[in-house]
Amino acid sequence: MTDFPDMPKGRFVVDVAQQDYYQVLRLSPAASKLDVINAYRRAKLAFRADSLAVYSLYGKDDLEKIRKQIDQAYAVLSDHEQRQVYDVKRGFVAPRCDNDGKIEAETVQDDVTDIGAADGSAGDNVVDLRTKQHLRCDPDPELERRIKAADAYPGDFLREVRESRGVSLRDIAAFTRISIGYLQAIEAEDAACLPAVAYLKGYLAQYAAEIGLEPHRVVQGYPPLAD
Amino acid sequence: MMGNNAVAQTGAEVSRPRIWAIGGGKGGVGKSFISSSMGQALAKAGKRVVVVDLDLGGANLHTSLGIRGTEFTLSDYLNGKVTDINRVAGVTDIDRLRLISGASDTLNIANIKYFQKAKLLRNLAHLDTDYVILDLGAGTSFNTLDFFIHADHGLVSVTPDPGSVENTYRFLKCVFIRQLRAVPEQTREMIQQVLMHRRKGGRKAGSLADFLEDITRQKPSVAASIRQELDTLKLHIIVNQVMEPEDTELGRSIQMVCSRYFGTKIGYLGFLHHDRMVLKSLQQRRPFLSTFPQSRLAIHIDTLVASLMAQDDD
Ligand SMILES: Nc1ncnc2c1ncn2[C@@H]1O[C@H](COP(=O)(O)OP(=O)(O)OP(=O)(O)O)[C@@H](O)[C@H]1O
Ligand SMILES: [Mg+2]
Repeated sequence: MTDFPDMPKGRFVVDVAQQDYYQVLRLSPAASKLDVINAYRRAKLAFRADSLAVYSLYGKDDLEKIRKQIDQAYAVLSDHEQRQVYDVKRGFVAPRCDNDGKIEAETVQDDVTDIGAADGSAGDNVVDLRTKQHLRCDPDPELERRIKAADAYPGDFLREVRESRGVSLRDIAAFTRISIGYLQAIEAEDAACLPAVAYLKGYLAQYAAEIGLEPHRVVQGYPPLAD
Repeated sequence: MMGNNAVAQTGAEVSRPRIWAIGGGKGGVGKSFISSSMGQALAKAGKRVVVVDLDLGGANLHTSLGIRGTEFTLSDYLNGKVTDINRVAGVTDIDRLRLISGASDTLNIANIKYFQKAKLLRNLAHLDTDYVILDLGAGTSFNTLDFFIHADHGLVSVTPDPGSVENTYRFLKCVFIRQLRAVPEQTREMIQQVLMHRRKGGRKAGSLADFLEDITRQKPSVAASIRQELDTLKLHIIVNQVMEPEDTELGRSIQMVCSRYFGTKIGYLGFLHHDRMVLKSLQQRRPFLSTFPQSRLAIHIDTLVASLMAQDDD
């Protein structure tokens, strides 16, 4: 087999299969906003440095690379505009606006599902209500613009974002295991009920990820944490 | 087909039983416990079940079922002393649940002869029952792998410790290589090299997913047949002996890692908690599931069985 010579060790270190952002997160291109968030959390959990699930398969450097890919995939897929541009580029959807003549229609495929079929783990035996919901609420452009521009994330703004994404506090509590009381206190900026700062930062970051906001920006811009 | 007792009609119209195999590289991860409990759960759901103890040499499935033994054992069948496989399936204390015991002084799964294995594999389908559950021994002997691959569903039990996870991946690699025995030899050797050689000095033998990607570009038809072979395997992870809350995520993480590393889909069936009463019931020689049917563990087992049954129905 001359066209397929002996493979030296380490030949496949470059993860050629992993360039597609949806593949990286094991998602179908039809995934909802919430699916993206959940897949991101799962992926980060699976490939974190001390993950039991990677034992004997991946080393430290591999994991770091994988986590970078996961972050990059999430950065694009969780951002409405970037995702749209990416989807069009990949041929997953038709360009929305006809007035944007630069986007060529030739790459567009109608059949989104056959790409979705390649998705590995998202289809499950265990029924996961959260991922079945497909809450892809129509984004409110005005709100998205305010999120982009925001450098402060007061509690009532967080609640507004959460509600516009159709995510309930109960959902967040169920998945993050943060008590509803703390989540309510975060949105109410209720100093009496908030946990100690070290915990608050962690909770806030998880909460932010659940509603599709940048965790570190929210932690930085949350008024009760500003000194 | 809901026979009330083990004696039922034979005939061409009787559909063959579904076969589930429980494997996993490491000893003591709960294969026998899960086999016997799933058998009880199926029986409780009204199905006729035969559990087969294929841990020849270390057979103890009868203990998990709370009985001392059966009239005949698998070795009687393999040695030709009993010719009808249905006769070696002995009754247990549980309605609709029968056992083919592996207890034997001489037989070992690694040393049963090829014709014996072939005979058994062929005749499992002739068992007069709705479900057959194969309890496999630890390890990755060819015979163990062949029974695992032969089943309609292959369940892999893993416990939340590094050794068990490592063994699970080793077991899966062996399963894949065995499953791919029909692909051209040179390609198969390359796959074996990719999967089996160990990481040295931080260097990594790439993943099967990457290899498949590579071969898809170079030899699309070979790649297609490999994928087809891998896709016929229906594999499921069960995380057993969960004690810490964070271990409940392990199954999904393994699923995600498998998808990325092996490039093939593996199901995640669910997790089972560690329950002290399992040992208690063993000591009292009573089967756990029927002794503590309301326990969280028993309910989880019922759920796993129901979700796997649902997959067979569609
Ligand atoms: N979820 C559980 N909670 C408590 N004890 C358990 C649980 N699962 C298994 N056990 C116990 O752990 C021990 C090992 O389980 P088991 O014998 O089923 O493992 P195995 O994988 O069949 O081992 P082997 O490879 O030696 O056949 C047994 O004593 C069993 O009762
Ligand atoms: Mg056993």
